[in-house]
Amino acid sequence: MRPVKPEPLLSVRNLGKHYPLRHWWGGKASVFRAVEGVSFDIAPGETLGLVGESGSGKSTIGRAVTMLNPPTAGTVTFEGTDLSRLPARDMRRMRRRIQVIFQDPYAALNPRMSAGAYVAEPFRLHRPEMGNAERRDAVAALFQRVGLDPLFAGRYPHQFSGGQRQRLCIARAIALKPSFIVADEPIAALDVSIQAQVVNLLQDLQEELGLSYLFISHDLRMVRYLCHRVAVLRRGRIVELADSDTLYEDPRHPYTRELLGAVPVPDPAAERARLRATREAPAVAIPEAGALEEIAPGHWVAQPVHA
Amino acid sequence: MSASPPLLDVRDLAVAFDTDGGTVRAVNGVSYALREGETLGIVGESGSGKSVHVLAMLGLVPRPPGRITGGQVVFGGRDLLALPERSLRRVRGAEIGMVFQDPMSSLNPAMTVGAQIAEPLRLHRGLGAREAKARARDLLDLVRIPEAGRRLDLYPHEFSGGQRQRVMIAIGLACRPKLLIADEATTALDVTVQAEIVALVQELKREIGMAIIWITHDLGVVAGIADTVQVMYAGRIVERGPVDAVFSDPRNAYTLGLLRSLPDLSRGRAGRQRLRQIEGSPPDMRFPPPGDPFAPRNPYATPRCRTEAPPLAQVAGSVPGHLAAAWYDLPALLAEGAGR
Repeated sequence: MRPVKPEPLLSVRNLGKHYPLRHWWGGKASVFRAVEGVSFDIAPGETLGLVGESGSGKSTIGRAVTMLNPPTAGTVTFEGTDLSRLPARDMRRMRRRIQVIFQDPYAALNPRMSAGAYVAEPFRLHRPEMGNAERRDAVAALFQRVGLDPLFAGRYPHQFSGGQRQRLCIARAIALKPSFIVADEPIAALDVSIQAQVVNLLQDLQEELGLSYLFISHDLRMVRYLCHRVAVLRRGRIVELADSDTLYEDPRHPYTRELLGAVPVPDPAAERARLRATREAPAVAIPEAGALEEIAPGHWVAQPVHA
Repeated sequence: MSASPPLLDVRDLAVAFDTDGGTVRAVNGVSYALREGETLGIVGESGSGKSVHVLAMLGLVPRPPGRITGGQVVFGGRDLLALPERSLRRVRGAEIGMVFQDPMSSLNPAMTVGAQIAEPLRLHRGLGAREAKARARDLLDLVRIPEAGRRLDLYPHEFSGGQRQRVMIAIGLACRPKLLIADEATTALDVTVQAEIVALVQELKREIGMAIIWITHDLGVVAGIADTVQVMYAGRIVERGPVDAVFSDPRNAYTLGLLRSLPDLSRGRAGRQRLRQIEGSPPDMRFPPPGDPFAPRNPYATPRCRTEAPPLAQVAGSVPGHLAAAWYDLPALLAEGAGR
């Protein structure tokens, strides 16, 4: 569907996640399409941003491409292998290459496991041949890599701040040298002064390890900053996909325009002018999204569906 | 400014929590005044005291573990901290309306929306059931919920997240309060819904003329709606003033750090710089650092910052009412190119 220059690391085609709906007294069954007809590629070393309102299917896509909650339709080709057809045993091996970082690092951590043991766990599971000393050194190096003092390895999750906990999750995620990380709202629960730290860390790791990210976020400022390309989701479908400069400077779909136009600007005069302009602008009806059309190289816009 | 007394006068408010790990001094001598009809934006991160000081002045801090350890909050000629709970209950909801972050947990799931909007009217205004219901319908209209008459009889789960927050605002405004306090009222909402709520509150302010305290961590929202902005850190006000002055000429290093850490939405990927992050973490308030609590994270800190907390004082060379707590001269340091 999309001609790409290098071989993509991840290639998603016609991804769907449907949930059967059946009324409790047994009416006619119907299907809720949480995600429908979603296709995109992620190149090695690339960050694709996924934005859209809550319930638009962002996290569902993140969980579907990692097979944490497998899709009901479509293919997910990662490093040449279709994950949706992979037997469970092979998928477990594949998990070394694909990692996930979640929004709430506290919920992701085991409160009764020390920070060091938590970061060491991937080694225990996937690299049983590693000796204790070697593993300890590897964990210390990971702590250092994410900006944590290796002396904290004996501490427990509640003894860390929110930002430090997210660093722990990142350390564990990179332990097995993955090529792809799904970051699902990784900064949403963090204080403003900590968000930039985590974004800078993600960016440094990308450069160092050649990682690709699927960056799911509702922070449109951070998405523009971090992502090479951005897909805008609405009601389970992509309405627009483009490189981030094009998307932010020349949004074509009415929903993308509405979304970007709603971001407050931290400059009083500019923000008051924006609020005035929004007040006076007429509301634009947003059509249901149909098939994507490539209006310029790499710039895809959903065509309206007229019911 | 005018000679009339302020609507709200907070004087040296201090709040502490007793925990197993020690006493947390969550609010440390906060003083400010709010004029009638003024919109004050309070910015800060978790643990800055921005929410706790407001809960304390409304008598909503649970005791124990919370304790108000000092200060006065003068509202309408009375010290709220000295009022018995019974009288305070008459102030809350009637004279001061409140809107919190999560409308789903603030609304009663087993009570119709109409009954919840009518409750403060019956409680504080003594309206009868029929009158209160008619007013509730007007209020749903006011917050732009379509088909208000029909939807009064629905339950909170039948509303979307943005509509629930509109219902909360309707409840907050039911008794025409002189002050509306919104604590992270749009944080849980989508950016498009946030924009609708912000626009709504501004329109209502024009119609009703109440003062607003808008607590948030989003500097963008504050930039658009606030007359005055107040930045809090570690239980203190570190900077405060007219919103244009503080955003264009910040004098406290934490304010500057917050403003600089935001990526610029209008800047493309080419030629962009690494985000200017604030190093370190917010202090553990059981063991706050001596002196200026931001000093350990502040690249501009002077030796004095590490031993002595700076007072909040009028900034030299800025507009009246622009106050900052800093021993260092931030514009001079920036001109020298210090600290990155």
